[in-house]
Amino acid sequence: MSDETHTPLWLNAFVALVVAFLLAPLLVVIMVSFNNEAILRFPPRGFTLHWFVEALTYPTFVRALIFSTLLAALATFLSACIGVPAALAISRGGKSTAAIEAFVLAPLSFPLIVLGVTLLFYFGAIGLGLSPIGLLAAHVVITVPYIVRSVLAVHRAVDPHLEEAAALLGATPFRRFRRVTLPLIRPGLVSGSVLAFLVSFDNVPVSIFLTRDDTVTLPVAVLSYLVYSYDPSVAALYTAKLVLVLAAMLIIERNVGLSSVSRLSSGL
Amino acid sequence: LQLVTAQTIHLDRESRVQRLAARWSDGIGLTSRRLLLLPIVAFLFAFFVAPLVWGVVMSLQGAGAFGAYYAKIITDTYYLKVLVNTFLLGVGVTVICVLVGYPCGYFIARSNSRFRRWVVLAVLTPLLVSIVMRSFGWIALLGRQGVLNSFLAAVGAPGPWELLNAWPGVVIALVHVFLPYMILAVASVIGGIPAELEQAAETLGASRWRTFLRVTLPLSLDGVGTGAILVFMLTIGGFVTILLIGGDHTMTLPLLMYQQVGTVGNFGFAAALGNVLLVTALGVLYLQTRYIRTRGRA
Repeated sequence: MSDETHTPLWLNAFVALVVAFLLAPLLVVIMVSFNNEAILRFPPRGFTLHWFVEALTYPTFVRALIFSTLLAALATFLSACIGVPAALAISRGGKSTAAIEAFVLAPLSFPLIVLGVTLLFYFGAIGLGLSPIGLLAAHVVITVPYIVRSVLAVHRAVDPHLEEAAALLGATPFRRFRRVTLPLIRPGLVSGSVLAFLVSFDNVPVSIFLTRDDTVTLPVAVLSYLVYSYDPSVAALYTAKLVLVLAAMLIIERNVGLSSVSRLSSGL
Repeated sequence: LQLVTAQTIHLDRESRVQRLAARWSDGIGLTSRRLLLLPIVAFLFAFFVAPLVWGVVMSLQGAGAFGAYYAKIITDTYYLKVLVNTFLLGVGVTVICVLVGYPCGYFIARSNSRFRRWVVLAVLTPLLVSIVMRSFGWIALLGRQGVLNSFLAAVGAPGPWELLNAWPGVVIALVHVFLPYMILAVASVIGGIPAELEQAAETLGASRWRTFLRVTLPLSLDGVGTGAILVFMLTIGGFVTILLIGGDHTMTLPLLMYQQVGTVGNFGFAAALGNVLLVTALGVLYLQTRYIRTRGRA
């Protein structure tokens, strides 16, 4: 019977090819970032850390990096503030909240460039212009569905009797949330927040329309840099970021467990 | 007297418990549910719905007659061609993602290989990496002096291939961006099919292929449809990859919108293009609700 679950050799070979395809561009970026020539060439001729120094001392990148980090953190926090209550209401709402769920999750499969363009002119019309507030609001629109979806998936699997028991034992709604619900939804909240942060941090199609000189986000700065120069410092920047992301995943796996990391896949 | 008091307290407590339980049977009460939903709904109305409505209003007026921008899109051969190209790109990338993604999703759901975990990791990792970085990688791979062309030159194959600033490079890079979504959608739907069904078919004498074609494939089609529609919608709205890999040579609706806003400053026309994109996406979504009954969760 165990033979039944073995996949045929050609399938395994095909999957191996696809894995190579999926990882190839990432590996190339990592190799290019250690390349000691200014020209983008592969395979690299020699090893250097020069591009890391270059990227992390280029003032535009540093400023954009700090701004993007702050923006992503704030957007994630605000998304959690309005997303978690919504997820709890939808989760226990039965059929009546199905329409609201679809509405809240709509930005996930929405062409974001349409949102970016319309927001640009909408903000102009209501007097927000290119203010950072508008940029933040736009980022909350695109990050909040990730929080709602992750928390929703976890909370739906939670036994409602646990919260019911807390209520019957006299816990106030706030205490019930702090001591019972929050610990139970923590894996969903953590994985949702990581996703929300990354989605905000990497966003281009909305940010590119809403940033001005002093509110440039990192990917927008990189894009305009790529238009004029094409050197490996961009590769170095993203290699450093990849290391940070993988480290973050590792920390999450240690603290919250593998389930929430693999739950990232359902959140994506 | 003491006994009576104790009893009333007991009764009192019991009725309180009953009251609470009755309130709880509704899940969270209706009023508090509305209160919990109010912030997000108000927020999305202000910053998601209102801008889109504003875009529709702006796209309908301007350029003279009512709806003139839309007339321009469907009568001008250039814009019509961009529209058709966008649609064809969406179909092409989706078909490739289905054909390549299905076997991989099947592998993740059904294989007991010890490499399975690593395959899952390889599928998830690109999703956590910025699209700018992935496009950068493809430029290094597919460029005139890139890995692929150096390799072809080294083995004496005809080349160099011009893959950048052209459709083939854009398709390759977009498949790379959206393939993981398709693989995960297929893996989740096949994972949800009880393996006993396949085992029963094989016990009854069906070959592996027949089992696959008659049992697994039909049961997984809804999930494939859901994944395909997601890939199609994301592809026709794709922007960064096409901008970096195709440039001006592969015009699609999102790039045209960017151009209209950035260099021409014609918002009404950009909004009209955006709405055409939205209508296409909504049309596909409508087809989904029509033909795919049970929605697989991707």
